[in-house]
Amino acid sequence: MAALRTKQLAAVLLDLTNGATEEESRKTVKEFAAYLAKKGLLKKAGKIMEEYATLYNTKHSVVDATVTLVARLDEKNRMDLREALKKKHDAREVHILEKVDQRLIGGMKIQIGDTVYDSSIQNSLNQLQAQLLK
Amino acid sequence: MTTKNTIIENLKKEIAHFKSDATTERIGTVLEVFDGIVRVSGLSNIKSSEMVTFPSGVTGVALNLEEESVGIIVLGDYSKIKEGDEVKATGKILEIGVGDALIGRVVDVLGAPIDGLGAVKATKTYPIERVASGVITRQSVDQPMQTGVKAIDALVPIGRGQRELIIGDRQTGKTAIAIDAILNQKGQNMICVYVSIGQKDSKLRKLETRLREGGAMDYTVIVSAGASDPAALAYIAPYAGVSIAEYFMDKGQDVLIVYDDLSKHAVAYREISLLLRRPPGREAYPGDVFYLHSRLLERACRRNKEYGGGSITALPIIETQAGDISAYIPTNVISITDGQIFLETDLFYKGIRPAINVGNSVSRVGGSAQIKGMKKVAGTLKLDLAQFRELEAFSQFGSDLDESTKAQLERGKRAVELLKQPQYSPVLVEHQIVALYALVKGYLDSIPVADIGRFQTELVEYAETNAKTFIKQIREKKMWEDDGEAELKQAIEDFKKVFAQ
Repeated sequence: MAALRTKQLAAVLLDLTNGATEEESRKTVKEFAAYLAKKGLLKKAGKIMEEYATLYNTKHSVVDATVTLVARLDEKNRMDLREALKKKHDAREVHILEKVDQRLIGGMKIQIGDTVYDSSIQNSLNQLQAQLLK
Repeated sequence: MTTKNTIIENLKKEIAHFKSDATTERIGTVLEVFDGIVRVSGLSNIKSSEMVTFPSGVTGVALNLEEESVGIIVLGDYSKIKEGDEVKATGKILEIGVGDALIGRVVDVLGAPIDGLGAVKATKTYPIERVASGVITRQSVDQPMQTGVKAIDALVPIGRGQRELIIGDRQTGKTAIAIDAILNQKGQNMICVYVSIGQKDSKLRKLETRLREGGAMDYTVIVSAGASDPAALAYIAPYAGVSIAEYFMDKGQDVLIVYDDLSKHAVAYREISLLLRRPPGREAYPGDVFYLHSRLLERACRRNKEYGGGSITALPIIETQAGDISAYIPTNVISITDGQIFLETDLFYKGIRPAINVGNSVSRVGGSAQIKGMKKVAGTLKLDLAQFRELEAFSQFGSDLDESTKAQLERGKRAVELLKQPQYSPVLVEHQIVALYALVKGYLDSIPVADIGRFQTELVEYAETNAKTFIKQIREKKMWEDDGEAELKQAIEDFKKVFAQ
């Protein structure tokens, strides 16, 4: 049998745990891990977990957003941002991971998957530099 | 003072008008870096041969789109790229800035100047990979591209829009022929593009100086990917060169492009392909190495009037190993091009320079581009040389030869002698015709072989003043008339008397 790819394994795991109770899932995961160990695939576990997270998110329309700012968001802004992102990405849930980076100078940068929305001052300055060089 | 103020005012205005927008970008993360290749995760929806930028400002091109990652070749310094670096997709297919400002400049593969003469202001951008002109826009080759090399213009003529391969071992004068061709385009309404692939910077520098001295940089662009540059640049270089050529062709101009040389280009592509883990084939070249050159050379063409009437003549150069033209790359390129000029080491060391092997060199379409006067004299010359080669082998055995054979041998020796030509001294086509006329009509038979070179140069000078009608007729009507011919005959007779003294 050809070796299963991480993506396929993650999909199988998602199928198995779908709609299961916590007790059942725990058991499934244990069995799954045992299977991986038997097949010598345990070194791929990290990759499979990543794949699983992406698949889970797509299935349940959950969006992971990394937001970079110069200071922490307050509660109201966070709610607004979450609502805005939910609308834009047609998602049921948005997980926000906040990061602080003084190099942005101001504004913010949001990364979802491999798409980056950048409205930081740093980015504006870079744009200005590019334009002046022309 | 005022200029300083205006500059400041302008800057202020620029800044006031500047509006920054929130940008949406697609990014990826560097997984691994090795030998000019970067493997990147993320970058979903990236197109093949799309440009990406690295944090150090270096550009890359996505070549391999795989399920989990993207294989990117780096066009520049890859030593500063680290694992985990953010890679930005630009959404643009690899392109080069083109414009009239490129003329007289030496640029790298992305159009940036490397001759230290300041910025090049590009007016347009052209994609580097472009589909060649279609059938509807084309026309057959019927205009000559004079190289100024007697042996080529007479025996393997090149037409505008033709692709003529220059092939031979190292040190046989391949580049010299190309340079002579460029030097000879002065005043011919031609733009020349010289693409240097994987060559020593010292050679390029020497060549540039030579072209500048000959006044050829007034109509020449040099595109260079040096020997110390990564293979990715060498791989892109000829496509960048032909994109520049296409810009001028689209303006209706005739362009001559030299690729020096395509064997190094194939080697660079082989390196990239192997690093990208594409399966190797014959001589470890990847399977698409034929397409690599065919799509490049197909972009040489001659457009018809409705499509601007420009043309691109291509002179690709291939270096063979020990005269082996049946290796993979030489056979490929021979079959793509419209003929080849075959240079040989043996001839070179015998002192026959340019060392063109007339028997193995052909021009499949150039014949119809040759001017009428040249066709007339070259037809007989070809015959003379062919018979000479046949008889030469026999004549080694003894001296008991009949008169007509002896005459043919003598004529052949003179023909070979006449076709010798030093480097960097292209000859005008009308002068070539004068010399060849004297040969094929038998006027040279009584001149000693050793004196042929001197006789020729002096005869041309003499004819310039004493056979004006003939030369004028060639220049204007491309063919002599009876009165011109009579005049030239007289001039040659007279000159022979002067020469004998």
